[in-house]
Amino acid sequence: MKNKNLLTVAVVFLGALLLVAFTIPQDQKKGGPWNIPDKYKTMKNPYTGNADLTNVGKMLYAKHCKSCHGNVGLGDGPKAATLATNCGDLSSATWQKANSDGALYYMSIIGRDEMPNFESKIPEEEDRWAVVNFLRTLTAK
Amino acid sequence: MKKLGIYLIISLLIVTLVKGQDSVPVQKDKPIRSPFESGMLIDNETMVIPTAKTLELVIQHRFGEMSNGMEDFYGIWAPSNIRLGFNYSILNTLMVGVGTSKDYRLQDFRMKYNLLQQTRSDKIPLSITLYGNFAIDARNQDVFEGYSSPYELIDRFSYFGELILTRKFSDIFTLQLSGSFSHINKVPEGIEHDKIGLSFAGRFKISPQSSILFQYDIPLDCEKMKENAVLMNVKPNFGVAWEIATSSHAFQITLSSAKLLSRQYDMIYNEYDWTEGDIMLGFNMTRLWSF
Repeated sequence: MKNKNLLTVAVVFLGALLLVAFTIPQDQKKGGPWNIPDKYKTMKNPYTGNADLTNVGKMLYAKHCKSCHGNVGLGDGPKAATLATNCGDLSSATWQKANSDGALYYMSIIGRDEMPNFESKIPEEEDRWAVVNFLRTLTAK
Repeated sequence: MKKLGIYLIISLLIVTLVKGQDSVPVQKDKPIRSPFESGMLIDNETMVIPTAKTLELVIQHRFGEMSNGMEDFYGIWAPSNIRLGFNYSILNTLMVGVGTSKDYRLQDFRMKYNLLQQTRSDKIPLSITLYGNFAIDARNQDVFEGYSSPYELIDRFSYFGELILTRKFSDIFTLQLSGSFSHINKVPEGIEHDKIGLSFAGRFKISPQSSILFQYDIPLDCEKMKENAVLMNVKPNFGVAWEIATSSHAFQITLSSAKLLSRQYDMIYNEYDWTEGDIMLGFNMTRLWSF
């Protein structure tokens, strides 16, 4: 009888442990440094300051980026929590300063791992740079 | 004076709609940016073709009529129709697709081609698209028996051809007008084999990701095309939808008055009258994969 009770307790305990294992959120890993080819690092943005592309960039960001990167680039979009890698904060001054427009182009359009490639979804150069321009407006307030 | 005021307001409205779009100075004239978010607009096709080498999964679903209220939970528990399809963009202007749907067990094969695309400079003010499909009714053979002519394989075939004219007036508003011809090889007595149709459809974009869509398909009553006694009065298909589009998906929650999920079958067989409250809830979903 005693053994039976012990077995029940053990099963309940193991079951609870299993459930807890599924409910505790796993920590997201921080994305490592990007290996950006020199060609992109030094690439000039031909549309810098082009105000006519502001709305285009905003629309494309909302369609392709917002679900993970969030409304203002904080990495808090509805899909962000399901990713293994943390999206980071695109609005932080550190991130903005550390990356050239060409680097942003590479990260946004070419991508890596969980960051998808957008070459076919944003096929035009003008539109790609519009996204880069919009990313530059995401500065921490 | 009053008339002058009205003319002025109308002119201003037109100018707002026309001038609101891409006023970006471009070096080279390019096709207009996304006049619609998806190749589908409720039951209609739009001029949108995903970029070349893109595979698109399409799921369309229509519940039953909402008019029964709580009896069948506004049609959600009623018999429904569903279509599953795949489209593939061979070129940026050419798409082919296959699909299967529950009602009439239709197996469809489709093609869409953008003949002309509206440009940002407005040098070409309209997009012209050709769309066509061929469907096979895959129900048991006994459905086709009992007619005056003996069963033949071609009794199962039906066709649809459409010319779509699209104009994106602004980032907010796009309108399309299309003329179509539908043909079903074998139809019950009192129903026409052929139908010419007109369709109006459009989009109001209300946020970067959301739009309100509308459509109105009108099967035309052509005296010259009538065969003997036509007993069935086909009804127009009215529909509105809320569309949410993301990078790879478009999701449309629809209210419409047709449920056959086939353009030719809706044009020839639709018996639901939206003015009598015959409206059905439904949804369309698309998922894109690029290669």
